[in-house]
Amino acid sequence: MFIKIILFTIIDQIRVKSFYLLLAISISLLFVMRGCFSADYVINGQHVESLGHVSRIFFQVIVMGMLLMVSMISMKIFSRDQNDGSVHMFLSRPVKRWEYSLGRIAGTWILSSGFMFILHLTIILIIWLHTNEMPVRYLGASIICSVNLLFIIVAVCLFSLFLPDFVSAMLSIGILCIGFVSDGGYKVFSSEILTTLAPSIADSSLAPWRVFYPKLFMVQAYADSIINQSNFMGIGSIHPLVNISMFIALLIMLTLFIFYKKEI
Amino acid sequence: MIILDNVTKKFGALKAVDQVSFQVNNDEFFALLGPNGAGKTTIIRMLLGFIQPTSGSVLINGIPASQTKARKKFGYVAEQHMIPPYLSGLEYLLRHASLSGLSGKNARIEVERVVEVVSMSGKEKDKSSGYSKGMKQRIGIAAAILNNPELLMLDEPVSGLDPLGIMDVRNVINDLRSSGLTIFLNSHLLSEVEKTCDTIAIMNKGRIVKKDSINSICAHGETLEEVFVNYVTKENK
Repeated sequence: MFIKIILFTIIDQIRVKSFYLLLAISISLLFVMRGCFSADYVINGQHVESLGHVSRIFFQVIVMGMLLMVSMISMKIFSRDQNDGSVHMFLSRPVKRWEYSLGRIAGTWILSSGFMFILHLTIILIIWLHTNEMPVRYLGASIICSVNLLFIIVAVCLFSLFLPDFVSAMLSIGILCIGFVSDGGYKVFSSEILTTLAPSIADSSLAPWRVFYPKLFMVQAYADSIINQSNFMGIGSIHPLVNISMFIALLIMLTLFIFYKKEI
Repeated sequence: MIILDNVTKKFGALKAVDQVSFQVNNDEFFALLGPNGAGKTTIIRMLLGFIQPTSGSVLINGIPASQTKARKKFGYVAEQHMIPPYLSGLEYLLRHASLSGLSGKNARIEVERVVEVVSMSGKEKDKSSGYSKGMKQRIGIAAAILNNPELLMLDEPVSGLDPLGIMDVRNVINDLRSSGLTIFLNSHLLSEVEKTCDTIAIMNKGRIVKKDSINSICAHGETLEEVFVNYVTKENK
């Protein structure tokens, strides 16, 4: 049943024409901007290797766009099913509540990850057109970033069980933004330049909540380190993927528990 | 088949169902009657496992209604049956078939059969957003009778339908009745109930005020409507 509900979710989403339109527009935009990948950039009078930098920036922009998009899609998952009778269709049959709710979440995640994967594949294609090289590490990084998509989907679904849809999406984006500011700030303050210029700021210890806060930014930083083939330095001793996986597991358990108790 | 034992359901301070007990036997056509707000739909929702009773037990074939096993041989038609607007009647029925364990050719054959039963042949491929209330109700009944259920739960199945629509649905229900299904009907259309049911329970303010066979209830030449009005007004006083 779980697999069937995942399939129904994917089929329902891809039957919408705007899905293909959005995908086509996104791919076209990437191709239109392919010139940026090989432009001549000068910073402080020095030429910068553009292909690697620009492709990494595009990679992260795609992830950010997808995070915003999935928060908008996910906020409607349960309320739309309630309004159009889908929830009655599923739950009046021998479908367990966890199968329904997890099936909906997993279906949305697989579809949005697939969407993001295609866009990241387009970047690889553009790099290949420029260099005749296939940097497959981008695909590994894409899979890592899809964990962030799952976090946002589950968070929005959980909040939408007791908050209005739009508030749920905004709250999840708020969690994302706080994480990006907190961990992004840490990254900047621990950068080589700042530790040299202002060691007192760089040495200041982090508040505990910043260590345990969902490491969405750090997951993307980790993905970037895979693309860049550089060393990754996180916050604290817990790897960001472990941190995010623990939060996802917790949010899923809460979603299942609340949905189990929910009166249909 | 169905046993409700001392079932109470509260929504905050409101007691929607108050210590209700009754039993529906196999092959019985049971009607639950009552004015709006009597607690009929709350009982149906508990039978579907959509909500849990505050106290007491709701069993279908000896299995608590909250368990999915209880809904294995089970069909349900809601008052104003909703079909996702992006699905056609056929797609909707194929999904139901899939969820009730049918697949491939078997599912197609079964869906064709139920489409015939509810006289929707030729319209099943249209998007449900273009269906009238009556057509949606018929598709709802078709979905409910997929895979030969043992129990059919009808929650105000003719609510909002025009006289012709009511007649169509009544004919479908009568045909199903002759096939030996157990039917649980929730309705306040007394003339419909009088024509079709074996056993009747009258509910008011969350309680069962009368339960008996239709012949016993209308034994003294009274119509069901007169009996119903008598019981409900007596209770309200």
